[in-house]
Parts: sequence; structure tokens; C-alpha cells
Amino acid sequence: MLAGRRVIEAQNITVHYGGGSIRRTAKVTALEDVSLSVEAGACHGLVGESGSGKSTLGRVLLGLTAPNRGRVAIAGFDPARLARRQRPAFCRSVQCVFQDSGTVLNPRLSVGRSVREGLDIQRCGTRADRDAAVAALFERVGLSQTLLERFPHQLSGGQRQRVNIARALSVSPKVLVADEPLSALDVSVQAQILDLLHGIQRESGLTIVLITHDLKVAQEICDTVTVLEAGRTVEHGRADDVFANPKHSTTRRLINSLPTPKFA
Amino acid sequence: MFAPMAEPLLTVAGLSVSFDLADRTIEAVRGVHLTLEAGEILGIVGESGSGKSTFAKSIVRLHGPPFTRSRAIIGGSIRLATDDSGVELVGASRETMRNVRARQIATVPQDALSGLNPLIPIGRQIAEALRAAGMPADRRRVLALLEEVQLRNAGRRIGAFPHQLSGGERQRVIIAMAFARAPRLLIADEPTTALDVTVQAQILMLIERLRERHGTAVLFITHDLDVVASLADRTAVFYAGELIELSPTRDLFLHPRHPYTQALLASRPGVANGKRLMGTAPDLAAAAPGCAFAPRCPHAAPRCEASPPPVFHKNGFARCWRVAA
Amino acid sequence: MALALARPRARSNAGLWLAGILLCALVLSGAFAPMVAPHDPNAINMLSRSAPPVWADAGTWKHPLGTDNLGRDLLSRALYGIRTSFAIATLGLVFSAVLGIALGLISGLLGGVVDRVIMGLVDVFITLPNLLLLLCGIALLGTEIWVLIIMIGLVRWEAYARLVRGQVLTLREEPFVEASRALGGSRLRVALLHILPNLASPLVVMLTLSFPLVLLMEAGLSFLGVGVQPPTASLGRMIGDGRDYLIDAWWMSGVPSLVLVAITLLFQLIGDGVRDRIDVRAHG
Repeated sequence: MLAGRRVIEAQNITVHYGGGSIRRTAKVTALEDVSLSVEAGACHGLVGESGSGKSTLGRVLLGLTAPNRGRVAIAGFDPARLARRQRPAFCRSVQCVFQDSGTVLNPRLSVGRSVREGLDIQRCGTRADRDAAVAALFERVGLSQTLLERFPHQLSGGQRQRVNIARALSVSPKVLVADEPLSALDVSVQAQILDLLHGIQRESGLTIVLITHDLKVAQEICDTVTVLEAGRTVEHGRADDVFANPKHSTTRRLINSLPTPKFA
Repeated sequence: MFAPMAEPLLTVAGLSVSFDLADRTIEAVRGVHLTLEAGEILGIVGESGSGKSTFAKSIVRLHGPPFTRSRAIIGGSIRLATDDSGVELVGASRETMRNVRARQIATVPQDALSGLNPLIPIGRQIAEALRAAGMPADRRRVLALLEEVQLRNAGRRIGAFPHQLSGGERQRVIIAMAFARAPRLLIADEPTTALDVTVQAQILMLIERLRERHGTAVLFITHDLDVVASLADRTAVFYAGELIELSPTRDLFLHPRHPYTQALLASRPGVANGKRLMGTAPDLAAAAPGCAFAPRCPHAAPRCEASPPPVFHKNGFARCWRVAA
Repeated sequence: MALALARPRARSNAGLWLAGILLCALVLSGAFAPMVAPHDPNAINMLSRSAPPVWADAGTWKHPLGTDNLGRDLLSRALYGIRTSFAIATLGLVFSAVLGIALGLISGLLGGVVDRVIMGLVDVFITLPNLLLLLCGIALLGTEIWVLIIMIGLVRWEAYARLVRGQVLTLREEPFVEASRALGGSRLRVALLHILPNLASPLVVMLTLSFPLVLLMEAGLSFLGVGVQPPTASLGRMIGDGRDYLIDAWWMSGVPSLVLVAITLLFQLIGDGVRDRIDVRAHG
């Protein structure tokens, strides 16, 4: 399964925040010399505690943060050095889903309109084609057509997250970066969203980078994982191996901190 | 640990909480009965909107201005056993409630920042809690409390402001304020949801220690079933404002009786091929005559929608036609 | 929890409606002053000089609110005054809002040098006393009505620029803006589709609350004699004209003052009401 070609190759990524020469803010290292490689069609987990740099790495992959050092190749692009005319193609290839926070969708747009946005930007077909495509996307993520005209605040957290996934899928990306897509959702809804992501990955060969603090989630759907701590990689490999035989003390600590039933 | 003959610490009978909104009335909690023994940890689980949080807040009456914008209408009875006799909390005077909050019942919110005053150093806030409970509040005592909850460099950080601490450290300060009062009851509303697993493990340990040291009973509200399994003696499951199952934690997890509990357990991430819970929770403004879970229940029969399910009492209870049969 | 969304039973809207109706009545009677005014506002009649309002001794229904020292009908002048003052204030407000919103958007979205230059200008305009700025402008450009409008705009734009820039800085970090960028959305698209509509509520509140401020600004200038020039009626001008007659004919200043207070108060009430009611999430 993991013998395919690599769709993400990141080498020696370093990201600093602050450290300005004028204001003399303290320099904070968010990522230090982190490398990452992900096979096409795999689900790769970035796990770690808050402040471990996992979200920063996700932003680097999306081109939202430029690394101070290091090179990224994702779906054939370098997000930090995109030529203007490459941008549309890059955006079609790499998409993102964020944590549901109430502002993950524009509160002033109907959710159908939000999902159509990618198609509008990429100028796909006529208006009628796009509306039909949006309806199909709603179907695919398990949302009723009656919700198309609703506004984000009229939806539940789980429904919003489905809309969010539909928006990302609208441009048929090769890579999906999902940053804590399950946080802030109920456990039962988490499972539904997880199943949805898993199903999409299997049926369309999408590569998923799943950023999560929840080891159980990573364990359930990830093929490979990278464990980060304080901006450095402490362990990476096949998910089964890492969770069954954690080599690094940080990984062990994370696993041992998981609540265990009193009665087991 | 449990004094067998004594009155339970907390006796909740027929508790209902509703909110009057502009266009409708929401019944957030409906007819809840339960008892809590001294020193017991009771886990309360349910999805958002299930009423678990409202239930807990109604005990200390953290509803209505200034805490929330709309006033809660509380019916039924909440009896708290105290040294002399007991107090009825529903309809109690403000003075009584203030006393109860200062000495008997401590709360730990999800967001510790909202539980602390941003403008006052943490040491002074703990001293305040001591004084409110009628205890001397000198620096030595405050420091001892901070060390009890294992705040690193407690001596240097006694004068720190809440924003200078991490989320986990703020939660420790809140728990130190609870230790200060040696309360009979601690109400913890999703206290570890925003924290990393390693910090969560430490906070849970502190709560256990509070129970051991002072015999404090704990109402632990969470949506994380694994946390409940690791901590609670008994577990209560809320659905659509009703308490639908209450069992010793071990029994609840190994032999869930109510179909909702079964579905909830099967929906945990990490439970492969579980029969996931589908659909969404019902609207609290429109109460159905029968079982609230019937529309989502895989075992629903005509009688489930027609009339309210009977309560089956044995080693806790479950409210379901199927269990009773 | 669902309860976080719970909103209290809406307070009675009666007060807000009453204020709205009264304000509309005042504005409409000003707008249609030529049709409703009983007299020519500038017609001098030395025979009925300083006639008191109808409720005072010797008052007559011919001049319900009395006349001024030149025998001009105060009711008619007040109606025309509302018309002039409202026109100047509205146009000044629109000019300042357009200028401020545009510069705030540019500043917040482009950042860097552009942002620093615009924010530097904002600082300069905050530091300069409003009155000084207005007087300088009028001294240089004259007392035409369009000069007043432009100067009011120049005095007020910084408030909008600061509000908009602040909101833009928050909004542009929101996940829905980042998602749009990740879908390939241009900066113009982000500004027009995602940022501007989400600015609407704070802007509406600010506009309603700052209207009375601008109205008073115009009145102040006209009171000082550097605003609207005679014989055109404006509320400030009328108050200024009457100040020498306060003891013998208090109504000369009193009538326009009451009108001004009424308008300001009504606007303030409506502004507060709107602010309490506006909620992005609740209205979509």
C-alpha cells in the first residue's frame, strides 16, 4: 500500500516567529529542521501537544506560512515559491479543512454559496453546472439538499464540518490538509466525520494530512504518523508500529496519558 | 467511604430546568432524579445540548443574570446534606446560595480563564477563596495550596496574573481554590476538554486527590467517554434533557443497557466498525410524547413513540421499553 | 451548549418605533419644507418683530413658534433649517464614511508601507483639534456649502478608517478567509465577498451614532458664523442669531435649540437600539 510515489516531500523545514530587528521581540522557533514525506493516497497524521508545531507545518504545506529554511514539494508545487500563474493549479491540488469554530464559514453567505466559491474562483462551467456540482457535493458528504440555502449559524457543528469538507472537495484536490477537523465536535459526530474522511480517502485516492492532538483518532485512520514536540520530529513511521512500539519518550508519554478504564 | 445509613450528599428529585426565549420555551432538563453519595465521583456524559451542563449549573444556580442572558426556571428539588441538617437549593435565598458556593460546592469550568479574574494575581484570588470559606488566608496557606496542586515554581508565581499561566496551570489554580474550601461537592464542567492529554492526566489525578484528601464528591461532566471510564464510580447518561441511564461505570461500559448508550459507546473514535450513532439530537422546544431517542433508535417499536418509557431499576436504572421487557 | 445561543425575550420595540416615527416626521417635514412651511422663511416683516410663540401671552396662531427680530416666522425657518442641516450632515457623513472605509480596507488588506502611511495620517488627524481643522479649511476655501461637507468629511474619516482596519485585521485571520485564499481567491474577492459584508453591522451602528455628532458640528460652525451664511436658515445659525435676544425673546434661540436637541436625542436612541439588536449570527 505504501509503495506508491511520494506526493509530499518536505525537507529541513524551519519556521521562526518574531525576532524582528526593530522591535526586538523574542524569537520563537515554531519548527526546527522538520522533514516529512507522504505517499500518494495515504493518510498521514501529524500528532503532538499544543505548541508542538503541527499546525505550523500544516500551514507551510498550504502555503499560508513561508518557511525560513527548507524546501517543500507538494503535488508537484513548492507552495513558498509559487509563480502567479501556478497559483490556480496549486489551489486545485491542495485543499484544507479547519477546526469548526463558528467562523470556519462566512456567516454572511449561505452554505451552498460557500461551497460554490471554489468553483466560482476556478471558473468551472456555467452557473447551472456549478449549482449542480454543489448539490452533488452535498450528497457526497451526506448533507440534505434542503440545507443549501441555510446560513452557517443555522447548522450544527457536524453539519458545518461537512460543508467545510464539501468546499475543500469542490475543486477535486489531490491533497487535503485537515487541521483538527474533529475538535469542538461531539464524540458521536467526530466518528461520523472521521468515517466520512476515511470513505472519501478510500474511494478517491485522496492524500490526507491529518493534524490532531488525539492519538486515538490518528490511530484509527492514519497509515503513517509523525510525532512532533516543541517544533521537532521525535518519531515517525507506520502508525501501527509507532503506537504499538513507541520508541521515543514523548510518544510513550502521550500514549500513557490516554485515560484507561478503571475496571480494565 | 460511604456511610451506609446516612442521607446521600445530594438528592435531586424531579428536577426540571427551562428557558423562556422570545419565541419558544426550551426544556433543557426534564424530570431528573439522582442521588450522589459523599466522596463519590459521578460521571455525566451526553452530546452537546443534552442538558448535562445545564443540570450541573442549576445545582449551584449559575443561571440567569449575571451568568446567562436568559433566566432559568427551575422546578423540582435539590437537597444538599450539611452538618446540621440539609438545605433545599431550589428556591433558596441568595444568601444561602452564596454560602453554599463559598463553603460547600466548588466549580471548575472548562475555560479556566473565565473562572479567574484577569486583573488580580492568582495568590490573592486563592486567599479570597479561603476568606470566603471563613478560613485564615495567609501567604503560607496559599503557597501550601499551590504546592498541593503541583504548580511549578509556586513560590515565584504566587503573584502571577492568570494570563501569564498556561491553560493547564490555570486549571490547577482553580482546583487550588477548590482545595482551599475543602468542599463537599466539586462540579467539574468539561475541565480538561481544552487541554493536552498529558495535562489532562495530571488534572484528573488532582481531582482524585481532592476526593481522597477531603472526601469531596465530584460531578464530572464531559463528552469524553474514555475520561469517564478512567475516573467515575458511576456514570449518568443524558439525552435530550433526560437522564436515560445511570449505572456503575464498569457495568455501563461493559453492558450498556439503553440503546443510546450502546450507540454512543460504539461511536467512539478507535472503536472500529461500530454501529455509529446517526442523525441529530431532537429539538428541545418540541417535546415528544414517547421516548426522545426513538427517532434515532435502531430498536424503536410503535410503543416507543407513543408513550414515555418505563424506568427499569436494577443496579442503577435505564429508561427504556426494551430494557424493562 | 445550545444555551449560549439563547437570547432574552426581546424588549418591547415600542420605544424604538416611537423614536423612529418622530424622527421620520421631523426629517420629512424638513425635506418638504417648501410645501409645509406656513411662511417664506426669509420674508422680513418689521410689523410682527419678536412675536412670542402661541402659548405665551400675546402669542398668535399666525406664527405658532413666534418670529425673530426681523419678523421672520420661526416655524418656517426651523423647517428650512432642518433641511439645510440634514443635507450638510448627511453628505458630510457619506463622504467621511466612503473615504474612511476605503482607506481602512486598503490599509488593513495591503499592510506594510501603505498601512503605515495611512495610519500615520490617521494619527495626524486625531491629534489636530477638529475645530482648528474646520476653521483652517473654511478660511482657505471659503464658506460654500460643499466646503463644509468636505471639511466635515475630512474631520471624521479617521474614525471609520480605524474601525474598518481593526475589523479587517481580525477578519483576515478567520478560517473562512484563509479557506477562500486557499481556493485561489484574489485579494479583491476576499475584500468584497468576505470582509465588507461582515463589516456591515459595526458600520451601521457607527453611522447612526455619529450622525448627531456631525449635525452638531455643522450647527457649531454656523453658530460661530463660519458655516451656513445668511439669509439661509440653519439650526446653528438661528441659535447664533438669537443669542443677543435671549432675555427679551428667548424663543429665537430656544426653538432651534429644542429642535436640535430632539433630533440628536432621537438619533442616539435609535443608534443604541440598533446596536443592541444587531447580531450577525442571528440575522445571517
